[in-house]
Amino acid sequence: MNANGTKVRVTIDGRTVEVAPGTLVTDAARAAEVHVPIFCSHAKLPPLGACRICVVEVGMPKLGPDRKPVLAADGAPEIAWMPKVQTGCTTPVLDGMHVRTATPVAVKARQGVMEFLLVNHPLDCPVCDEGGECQLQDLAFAFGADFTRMDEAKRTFESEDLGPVVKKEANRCIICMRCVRYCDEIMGDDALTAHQRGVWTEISSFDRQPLDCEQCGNCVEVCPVGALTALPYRFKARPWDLRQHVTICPYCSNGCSVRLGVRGNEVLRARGTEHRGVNQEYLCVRGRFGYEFVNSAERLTAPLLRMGGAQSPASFDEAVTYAAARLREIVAVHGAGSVAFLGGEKLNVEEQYLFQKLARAVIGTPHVDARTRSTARVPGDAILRATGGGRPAMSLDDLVDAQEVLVLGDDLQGEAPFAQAQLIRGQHQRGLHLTVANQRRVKLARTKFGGDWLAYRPGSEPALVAALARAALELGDAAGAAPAAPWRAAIEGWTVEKGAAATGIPADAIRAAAKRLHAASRKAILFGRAVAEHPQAASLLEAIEALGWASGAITESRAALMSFGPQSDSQGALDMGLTPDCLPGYVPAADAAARGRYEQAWGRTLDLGAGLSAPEILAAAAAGGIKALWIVADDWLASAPDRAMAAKALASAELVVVNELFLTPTARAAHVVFPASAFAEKEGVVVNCERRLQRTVRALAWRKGVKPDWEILQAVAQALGAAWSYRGAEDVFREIAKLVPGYQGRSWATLLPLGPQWSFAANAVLPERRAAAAVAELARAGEGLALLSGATLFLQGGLSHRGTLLPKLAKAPRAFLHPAEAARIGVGDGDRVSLAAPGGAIELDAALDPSVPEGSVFVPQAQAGVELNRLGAAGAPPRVTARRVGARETVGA
Amino acid sequence: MIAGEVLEAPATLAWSAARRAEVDEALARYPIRRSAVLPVLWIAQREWGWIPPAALRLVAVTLDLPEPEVFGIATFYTMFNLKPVGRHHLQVCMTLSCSLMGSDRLFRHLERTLGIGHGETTADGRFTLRRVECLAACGGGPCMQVNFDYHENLDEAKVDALLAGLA
Ligand code: SF4
Ligand code: SF4
Ligand code: SF4
Ligand code: FES
Ligand code: FES
Repeated sequence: MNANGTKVRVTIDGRTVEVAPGTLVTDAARAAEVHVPIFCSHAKLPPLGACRICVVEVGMPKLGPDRKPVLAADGAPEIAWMPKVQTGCTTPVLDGMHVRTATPVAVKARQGVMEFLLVNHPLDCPVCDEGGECQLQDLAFAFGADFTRMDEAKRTFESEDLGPVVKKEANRCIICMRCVRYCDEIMGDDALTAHQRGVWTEISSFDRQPLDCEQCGNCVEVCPVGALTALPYRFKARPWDLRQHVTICPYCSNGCSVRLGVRGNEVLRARGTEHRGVNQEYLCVRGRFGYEFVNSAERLTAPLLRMGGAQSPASFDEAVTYAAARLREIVAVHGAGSVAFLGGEKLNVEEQYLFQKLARAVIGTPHVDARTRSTARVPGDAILRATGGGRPAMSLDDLVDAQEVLVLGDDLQGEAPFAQAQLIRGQHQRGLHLTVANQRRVKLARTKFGGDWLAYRPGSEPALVAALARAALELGDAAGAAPAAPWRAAIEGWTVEKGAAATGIPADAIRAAAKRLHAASRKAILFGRAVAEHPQAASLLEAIEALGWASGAITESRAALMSFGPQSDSQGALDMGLTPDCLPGYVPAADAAARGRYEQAWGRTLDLGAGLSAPEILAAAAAGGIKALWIVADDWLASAPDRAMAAKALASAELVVVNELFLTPTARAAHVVFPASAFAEKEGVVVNCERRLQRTVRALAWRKGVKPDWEILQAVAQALGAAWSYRGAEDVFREIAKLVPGYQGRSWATLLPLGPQWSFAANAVLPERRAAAAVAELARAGEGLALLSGATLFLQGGLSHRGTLLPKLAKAPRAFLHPAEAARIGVGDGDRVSLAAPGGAIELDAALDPSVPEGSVFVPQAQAGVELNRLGAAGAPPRVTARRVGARETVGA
Repeated sequence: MIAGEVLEAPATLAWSAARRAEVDEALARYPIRRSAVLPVLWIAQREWGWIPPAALRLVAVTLDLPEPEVFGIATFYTMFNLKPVGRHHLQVCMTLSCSLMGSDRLFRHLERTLGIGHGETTADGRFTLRRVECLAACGGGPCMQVNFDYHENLDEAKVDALLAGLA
């Protein structure tokens, strides 16, 4: 064995490399930069050995009677070659192993495999979308014969559309089983299968029905040939006609890398990136097919100004001059505190930084908040504290290797699809155990994933977390859980039994879940909007911090909690201080000494008084206290917790400025609308749920009339007299890298291909803060049904509605009811129901779904035509009365 | 296999009490539920004569398996009928010994007599004709299996007589 015992030496075509024991020959070959072709093997799937294209010769040093290698005349060890070729993708290397890939034996074997693979292959590359990037084509070129010995007719199958996404041409299939295995082991959908056997083996769905699945298209991505292709891209382009740009998906906090295929100035497709990004080949349906909005003809292309009555197009300079003049007047008359800045979770960090700098340093207002959906004031650093205060964070790859994962409150299928795929892979391949705390039986809570489902009462998340933390403390203190730690205040007065009574979950189940979490050495606690937008979010987050310490998920040196923000750069928005109480880098705005660094750099005092949070801005603006609103990349009428109040706020403000891609209802209410660039049209940095800094690149030329947000913000700042002179977003990042804690010393150049996860130095993590108050008890449930909501897979925010495929997949918005509950209130499947709260009512079609608990109704978020905030502030937790208002509409009637 | 009535594919199916008892008995034989998939498919085929999609779904639910997986398994085995079969399922061996003894001629004779080809069913639902591989009765070739019964050393006249006796 090797001296250090951790690596083994293997020699491939004369090149010796050291690799970890257990490495497969194909991977060792990659390390040695020797090309061994593969079809069926895949980095995220266990070895299968289905296609045999990776055959190589393998040998070990010959041993003499003394168990020592026999040396040849030249001193090199003699090799005993195995009599037959071996599949490299299933053969782990041993120390001293020799591999030959280019000998006549290996080459002939590979040619034989190619010949077999082509026996029934139609060789229809000219009409195949894979042509030009097909591994079979490449290898046929490299190893195939240029003639065929087969006279027989080829066996043929019918071509099939397996739903709206997957096109199947089974004639081209090489039965590598990648698609079937990927769908099973990583998507957890088991939607594909091999039919028949032998030469008639064919990949298809159950009974050839349209695939009932996530429609992710990952089966298409991993298919090494053109057997599966993507219907939305069918016959659109040839790969060599496309410019390919790798940037970051705009649809969730996971921050997957997407490879955009662009022709002219149009995005024609999005694909994964084989050896890059946090996700590599993986994309969810939104990442893969949600790019359509970029090309939309409905995009805004000229600024709009409302002077008096209707909005009319204006030049950029006119719009800038007007916005600046009005802002100046309003500040002069009502003071800087009458201006508020909202939104920005979708922007790049450079733009987020400038947005708050414009507010604080140029206008001089403290009212900045990106978290427009929140229903209560939450400290700007609450999520960072709950995830370990800036200690080194866990990664999405760590999830696969975790032994125990607690998913708290959110349906990751819509909230964080890639994280869900990582968990499914961990569960399938590495024995990960899931504890899914959710009111509904969401996908991860299905029995097939073998986890435990904690179905708590609507709204009782804080009680559940407090009880889990108590149960963890009963098990003895985890490292770092000091008896006098301030976080204990958050769970004071709580016991496991009290939590059990409040949540409806048996105390035993709570204790068992806490025990699993406490015992696991590799663990994770995951949460998202169900926590961040909870009416008691502030104390809930403090309780999560307590659970983190009590269970050992937070230690002095690291933290294993991850928060999924609602947008792709929600983490950046928190980091850049788009919260009223924190300056960039979580510097407390109220701390005169700490904020000095920004006062110095920005050249003005930042003693701006207490800032209002988004729900407070909403209330103040509706009451007429806020005179000017600047809203970026956020359809506030849809995102604000109370739509009527937001409408009133917009109507009563003297100035509303909106940066948007489309004329959203909010933009329609604005006095100034700046058309803004889409994610594929600008460059910058976004920060994902791992707190990883990732570069976005510009895949498209500037669109006429449209500018990136940083340019818009700079133009207005300049018109207001600020001496800003950023030549590009990179200049802004340089300033961030100079000033902002956690970001210091970073540069764009160091963020490609995969940027680092930021963390504070050990002596600079946020100090523990004594919880403001213990988690409060849940008010007694009122009348009617609990209104549950949550993210869904097929739609995420306004942009996803602008294409054609995603809205089609999402189907019509519906209200989901448990069959028993529906029967109780006299509602049948498809009937029209009204959901009413004191603030308003909405109408939807009902759908029966046993995964929704009785006593509640589930309405997915982000669906066109569902405006839950029309119900007003429907209580905490929200309750509605459901009533049947019409029969199921018969088709054609 | 009992050849059943030719059925329209039903939307849903459920086990009768008797079949459910057989299913439970099959499940009890294996430590892992999934292992019972072949016996349970077999029970379904005995009940309905063939295995319509609704029965595949029922088997999937019964065994807690993904539906596509059950579909893949059922299509792998040629003795599961995924289309309706006639009352008499004629399975003619085409493998070497029988072939040497004239099974091709016999099969063509059946095709002409019944007016159907491989895998097809007569309009009256009486016969389904199928080529199969070795029936392990090579000493008596050419041979044919009709439902569960073997008929050996066949020729055209014997086949005609046999068909005449099958209602
Ligand atoms: S689209 Fe995704 S979920 Fe559907 S079959 Fe393919 S891999 Fe499975
Ligand atoms: S369809 Fe593609 S991925 Fe699936 S088995 Fe065939 S060649 Fe492999
Ligand atoms: S998981 Fe999130 S980041 Fe990845 S492709 Fe889907 S929406 Fe985009
Ligand atoms: S890649 Fe090794 S057998 Fe397919
Ligand atoms: S060859 Fe016909 S039974 Fe064996």
